Amino acid sequence: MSTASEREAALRRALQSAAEYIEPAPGGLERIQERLGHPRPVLIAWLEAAWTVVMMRAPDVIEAVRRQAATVLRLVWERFGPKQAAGHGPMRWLRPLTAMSVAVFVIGASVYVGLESSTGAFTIGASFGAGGVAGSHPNGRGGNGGGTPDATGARSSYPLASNSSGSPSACNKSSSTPRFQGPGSQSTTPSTQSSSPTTSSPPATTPPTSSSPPSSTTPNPGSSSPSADPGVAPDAGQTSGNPALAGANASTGTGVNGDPARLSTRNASVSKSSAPADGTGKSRPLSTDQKYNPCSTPKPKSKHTKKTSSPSTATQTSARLGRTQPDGGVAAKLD
Amino acid sequence: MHVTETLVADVALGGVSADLEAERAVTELYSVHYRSLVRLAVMLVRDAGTAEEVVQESFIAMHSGWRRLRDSEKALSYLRQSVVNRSRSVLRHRVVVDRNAPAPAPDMPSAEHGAIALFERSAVIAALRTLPARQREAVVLRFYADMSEAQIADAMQISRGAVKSHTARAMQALRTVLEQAV
Repeated sequence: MSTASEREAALRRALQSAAEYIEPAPGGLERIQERLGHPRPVLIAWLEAAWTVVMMRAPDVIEAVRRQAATVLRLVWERFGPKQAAGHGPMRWLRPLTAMSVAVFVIGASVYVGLESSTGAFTIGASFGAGGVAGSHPNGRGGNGGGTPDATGARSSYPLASNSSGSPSACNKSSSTPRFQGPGSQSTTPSTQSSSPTTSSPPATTPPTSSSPPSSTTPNPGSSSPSADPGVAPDAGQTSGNPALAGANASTGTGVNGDPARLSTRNASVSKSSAPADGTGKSRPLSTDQKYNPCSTPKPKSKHTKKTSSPSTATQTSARLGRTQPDGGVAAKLD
Repeated sequence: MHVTETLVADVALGGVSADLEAERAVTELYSVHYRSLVRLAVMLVRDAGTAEEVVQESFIAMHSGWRRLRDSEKALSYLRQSVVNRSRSVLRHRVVVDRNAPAPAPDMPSAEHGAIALFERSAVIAALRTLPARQREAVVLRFYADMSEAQIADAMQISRGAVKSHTARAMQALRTVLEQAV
């Protein structure tokens, strides 16, 4: 039998001889290196880890942001959103009241602006219609005394040009109502009282030529009456319908045919307040006319009164009337 | 800022140098001890392929822990210990697999069947398979690897007295088996 050392030696040889048959496969080192691989850089690894953490926490963050946004939107909606009909007291009427107020203000402002603009347009139109249109109308005021060299008739048809006391436009702005209150009304009183059957006389349509002697003119100032004019002027309601104007026009329509003395006499008879013309043909300012505001009174009246005091001016205006009166020829024919 | 960059550079360079040193140590230990380690693993697991897998994984583990080892002797001891531990794991897993796996067909021998058959032809190896795992490990490490009791105790992570005990019991069992075979 062998000792223990011999048995150990025999076992060692047996294991060594048995292990000699075993040979590892080649390429073991390559396999180890392949399995080791190349380690990723620290930065990339850190970024990957951070990205992983972010992606893991992203749902929580997104949820938190969504909740916060929802809260803010809900508060904004509760603050500025439409309120329910009940439960908010008088504040619920604030919005509709504000809307109604704004609407009413806008409508009122629009109406005011529209009326203002239309009023201005009407005023301008009225001023033009009262002066230019009526004066240029053949049967207007000028028609009443157009055929006469009388300054009154001429002045009545040219209220703007012969106004010596003020601007024509300012005087034209006066309404027709004050015409009855002006001094002309006083001057027409005698003529209306002295209305005669010569109303059918056509001196109103006499030619405006101041040099032509009116054959049918009557020296009587009261031969003409305002009621006689409507027959000649269809629109006498505007001009000769006015008693004052009619009287003046009628009295002057039968005018004195450019005689300054007679004209002044007639003017004196027509208008008590008119200053008597002197022999030189110069007119003196009338005290009543000075007191009287020409703009508040019918312009033709005041002008008529003033112009009648100046024969020369009346002659000029009658001449001007003759140029502008288209029916002057008709009046001459009638004459 | 400058200090931080310097530290980062040092760490980077140190990392690169450590990786290079680990790869160099792996290459050196592989060329010297790879074969013996594979044979040791084959004695423990009785499978050349599995033994190679066990040894390669041990080298990879050593590469990962090279900063902690920093020594070839420690690295070799680490490799042996890793091979023993992984062999145990393989044997434990194999027990479970053999318990549920079907029996291989007799007409389809494996590639290593010839070498293993030649290995198992030895009476000593046949008697060694009859020993328990701890006694087998102790005998293999003691008589094949020529390791001291301290090294065996370190590799098997047991005390030296346990190594003596396992070795003595393993020798008594082998003697009985070999005497019966003779």
